[in-house]
Order: sequence, then structure tokens, then C-alpha cells
Amino acid sequence: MQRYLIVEYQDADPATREVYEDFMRTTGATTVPLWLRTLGHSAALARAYWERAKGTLFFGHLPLPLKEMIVFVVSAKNGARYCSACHAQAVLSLDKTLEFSDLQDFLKSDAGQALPPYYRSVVDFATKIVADANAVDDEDFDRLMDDGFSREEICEIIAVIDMATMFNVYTSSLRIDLDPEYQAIL
Amino acid sequence: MIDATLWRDIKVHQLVRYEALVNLLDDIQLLDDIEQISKRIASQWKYFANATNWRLVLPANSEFLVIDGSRGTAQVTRVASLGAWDAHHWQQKLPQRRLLPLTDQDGLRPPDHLLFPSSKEIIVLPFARDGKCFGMLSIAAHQLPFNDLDMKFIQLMGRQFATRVVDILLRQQATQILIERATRDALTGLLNRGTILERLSSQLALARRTQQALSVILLDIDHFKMVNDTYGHAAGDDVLREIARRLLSDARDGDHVGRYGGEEFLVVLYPCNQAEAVRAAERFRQGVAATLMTIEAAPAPGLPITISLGAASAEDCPQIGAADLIQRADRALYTSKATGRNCVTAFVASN
Repeated sequence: MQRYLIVEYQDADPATREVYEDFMRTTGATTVPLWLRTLGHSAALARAYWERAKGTLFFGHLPLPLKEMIVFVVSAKNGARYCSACHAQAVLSLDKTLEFSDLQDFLKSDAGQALPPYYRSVVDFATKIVADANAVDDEDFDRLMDDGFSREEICEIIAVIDMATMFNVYTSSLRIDLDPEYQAIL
Repeated sequence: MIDATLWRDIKVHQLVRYEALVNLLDDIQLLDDIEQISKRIASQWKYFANATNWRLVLPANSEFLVIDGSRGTAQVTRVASLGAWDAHHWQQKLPQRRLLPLTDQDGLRPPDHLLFPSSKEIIVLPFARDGKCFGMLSIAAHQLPFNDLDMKFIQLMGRQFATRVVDILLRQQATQILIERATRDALTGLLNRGTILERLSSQLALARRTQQALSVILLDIDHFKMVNDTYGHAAGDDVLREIARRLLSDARDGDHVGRYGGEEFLVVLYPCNQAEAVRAAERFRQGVAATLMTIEAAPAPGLPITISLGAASAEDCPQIGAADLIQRADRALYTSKATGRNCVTAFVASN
């Protein structure tokens, strides 16, 4: 059973269309992704989800590939097929068949220098939060700060983790299909 | 599986590095505050070069500005003299590259935050312009030694950072000098007439709001014309300077002392009632009269200079304006002059 409705651009009401257009203008994409079209029946919901993504991903001090990596790690941990497929691999120029467990091994191996050193602590932090946000302790913050992250940036990291989780819940519950044309929104 | 090419050869991360550097160069031109600039750089450094812990040292007047970056943030401090590591390298003015851990022969110990367990090496880069060193950066490599691009970016960013901070310091100094020139009397260094009147007006407004008394003292050097006529105008200038010095040394924190006219001075005291103003005026009088004034043109043991003073308070008339209050002090001063000089008179309505 397809669990969701799709509202295409030409069928959308003016308020929804405005959200679609804002998405395309901001990301430079020429089409509207599936996840957003499934929200097209409610301009308010579409706007709420899109603004959350936009505010978290397109502003702030973290580099976009690092945000992509966080979304990938969180989505993979949450088993969110749609989100993890959309993020990380292409942007990170890594092997397309990369699994989450490979990534962990890879980050932990001493030989692994395919990513800047600060990625490892961010990935560990995200993994820990996804497992249990209450388990995060001061040492986890210390580790990020030792890697040069300011408190503002750590807050941003948490916001990205949180946003990814929100999208994971949405796309997984509705079992949104993979978008053949759709790449990461970044 | 993963083709573990060095991350520094992966295009997307090259772009992250360039983007971070370019954005930061832009930001430091837009920001105006040294602390804000330092903090921004501290959080961004890891994105364009392999470093998170650094120290920038810059001369600032007779002191040094020391900016320490660590854990994503920065601290700016002013110090009178540099620690051993900084002082040594500042004197050498030569780039240095030291692998960690340091051996005993290295002797000097770098600042603690550069010796993080993750630090692999430390480089020291002096920045010079016209043969003169204007800044020095010590920076530690994080987890991996620096590569060529790290070095290039660190040099580029370090120089821009130091230049920007020096520019801001110079502009602050220049602004300070202009403000001094615009508000100070060139001869005595006291507030000039315009400024002391402004202060009086603003303090009067404050006094009305807080319902606390404000008082003024107007004072005039006795027989000043005779000093000028006998010993010359340079001697007169010396007397004015010395009076200013003594008034300032007898003034209390928060008192405003200004040169009102030729040999007339105005002191604004707040909070201060009439009785306290009279005591202050008496202190000023004694401060001048008690010691002979030694000036170059006059014979030893010096000149017996005195001042006459008039005090007036807004205590009983909180709505009084600045001009009226000064006029009252002037009338009291006139009484001091008329009753033998070298004395203090407080304004009373019957004056």
C-alpha cells in the first residue's frame, strides 16, 4: 500500500506552490523532492518541514559536507532508507556501496584519512545521541571542543541530528520510496 | 570497500577548505571587534587548516595583545611582558617548526594549549612589514602534521588576522587621540570649556533624575596678570599647568575639572551638596597655597601663587540651569576676590 498522497507542482495551491518554489530557489534543484510533495496537501506542514530543513542546513557555521555526514550517520542508525540514501555518499565522494558499519570501521582505523580528523568525534557524538540523548555527558562535549568546535557549532550539530531524526521518522513511517532523480538536497 | 585516499586530496574537502578560508577573510573585514574576530577564527580554523590551538601575539602600545585560540573559542588578553616561549621567538623573529613531543634540548615550553595530546608539531610564524615584526603566530597541528596547503593557508590567514587586529588597534588609538584633542585643553590637559559645560549639563540632568545634589566650584588664579607681566607668558603657562596638576591631585574620582577661561577653572562635583563643595574648595585652595610654585623663570624658592574660589550648589534649586549655576558660583568668586582673595565663598541668595 502506498501510504502517502503526492501533490504535484501544477496541482498545488498557491501557498504550497510558494513552498515548492522556495525549495527550488534555495537548493538550485529543478524538481521538488518526493518528501516535500507528500506534504503538499497542507501548505502549513510543507512550510514547517521545509523551514526546519532550510534553517538547519543552509545557515550556520558548519560546512555542508559535515552536515551531510551527520544526516547520513543518523539516518543509517535509524534505518531510514530514504534519508541515508539521499545523503553523504555522493557529497563525500566515498564509495557508493558504503554501509554504516563500514563507515564506523573506517573512521576508527588509524589508516583512515579519507575524512578530516574532526569528523570522527562528530560521528561518534551523533551516534551516541541517536542511541540515547540522555547518555551524552560532558566528556562528549569536551571531545568536540578539543577538536575545535565552539559551543555554537555543537548546538548546530545537535540541531542537525535532531532534524535528521525528524525526517527519518516521517519518511520511514510513510515508507517513502527512493526518488530516482533525487540526490541530496544540498 | 573504501578507497581511502587522503582526505586532503578529495575534492569536496578541498572546497570546504577554500570556502572556509574565503568566508573567514570576508568576515574579519566586516567585523570590527577584536574579540569577535578572534572567536570567529577560532571556530573556523579547523575547516581550512589542520589546527585548532594557536596563539597570536601582537604589540599594542607598550604592552602586548595575546590572543589564544583553543576549543573552538578565543581569549584576548593584554600583558605587560611576554612569557619565555613568546619572548624568545619574538626576539628571534624567525619561522620555526618543532615536532612534538619536544626533547629536553628544546628547553622552552610552549603555551599549554599548544601541547594538547593531539598536537603533532608546532610552527611559529612571525609576520613582518617594512622589516618590522607586527605579529607572531604559534600554532599546533591537530592529529596529523601540517602539509603544504596547511602551511600556505596558515600563513595567509595568520597574516590577514594579524594585519586586521593591528589596523583595528591603530584606528582605536587614532580615535582616542582625536577624542582627546577635541575634549582636552591643549595647555593643561584638563577638559576644555566646551566639554566641561557639556559634562555640567549632563550631570545636572542626572542629578535631577536621581534627586541628588550637584555643586560647582569656579576658581581663578590671583594676580595672574602680574605673573605674566613679570616673568613672561611661558611662566604663566607653567603656573596654569601646575595649578591644573594640583587641582587634579586634590580632585576625587568622579569630579570633573575643566579650564573654563584664561586663568579660570570649573569643577563639577556630583553627588555633592553645598557644605561638601565648600570643603572641596578649601582643599583645592590649600593645595595651591600651601606650597610655593617652582617654575623655571622665577627665582627660588618659587612663587606664592593663590586662588580664589566660589562654590554654588543646585541642592535647593534642582531645576536650575547650567548657566545660572555658574553665574552663582561666579558671584561667590567675585565676593572671594573682593574680600582679600585666597579664600572660598559659598553662594547664598543674599550674595
